[in-house]
Amino acid sequence: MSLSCRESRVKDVFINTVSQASILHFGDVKGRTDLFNRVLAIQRAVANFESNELPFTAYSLFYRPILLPMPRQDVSFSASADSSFIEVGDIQVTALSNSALARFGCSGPLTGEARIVNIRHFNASAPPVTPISPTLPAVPVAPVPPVPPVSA
Amino acid sequence: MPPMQLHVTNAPVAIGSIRIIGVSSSSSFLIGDTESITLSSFFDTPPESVIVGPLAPLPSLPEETAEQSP
Repeated sequence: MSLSCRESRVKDVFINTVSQASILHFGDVKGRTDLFNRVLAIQRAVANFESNELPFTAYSLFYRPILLPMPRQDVSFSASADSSFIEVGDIQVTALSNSALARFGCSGPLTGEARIVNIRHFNASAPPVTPISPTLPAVPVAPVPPVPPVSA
Repeated sequence: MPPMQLHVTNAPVAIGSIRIIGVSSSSSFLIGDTESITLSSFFDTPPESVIVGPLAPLPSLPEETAEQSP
């Protein structure tokens, strides 16, 4: 496989949040990029969590094999660019999360895998949680200054 | 069978502006070229995931299961 990269030209980029093992990347990369994340999201009405009660191994979704469509025959792929550009004006992204990737440039193979299990647990009739240590009184913090709007 | 030949000539691309709310769960936002992209996502929120009651039928650790079983 041969790939010739175009040059990416971006005028203005505004990204508010990059979180949860996400990547913001400016530039080219030769090798491959593998994104992977597992989420076990449990919402409880009463937060009576105990340690070590939620192993990933207990949920088959985290180990289910990925079924990929395979090509019916071999394909010899090549791409040429003739020194052209990818030009973008303004880019505004509010958030990258859960092993997301924003890249401005050329790259090798990219794979991503996300596995998320949601459980919503309404255990309102459970006994209230007894705090282990007395909680500290809340201390007010200085307000965060507002972010200026992105100029067009 | 000889491999199929696929050649792509990339031309210039000009885009005015892009506005995205969110990129999440092993998704990708790419401005550029790449050899291949393979993204997969498993998301499980079945009706059974809503549990109403004081006890959650959460599984125990494998070693705990081994200790409990005679």
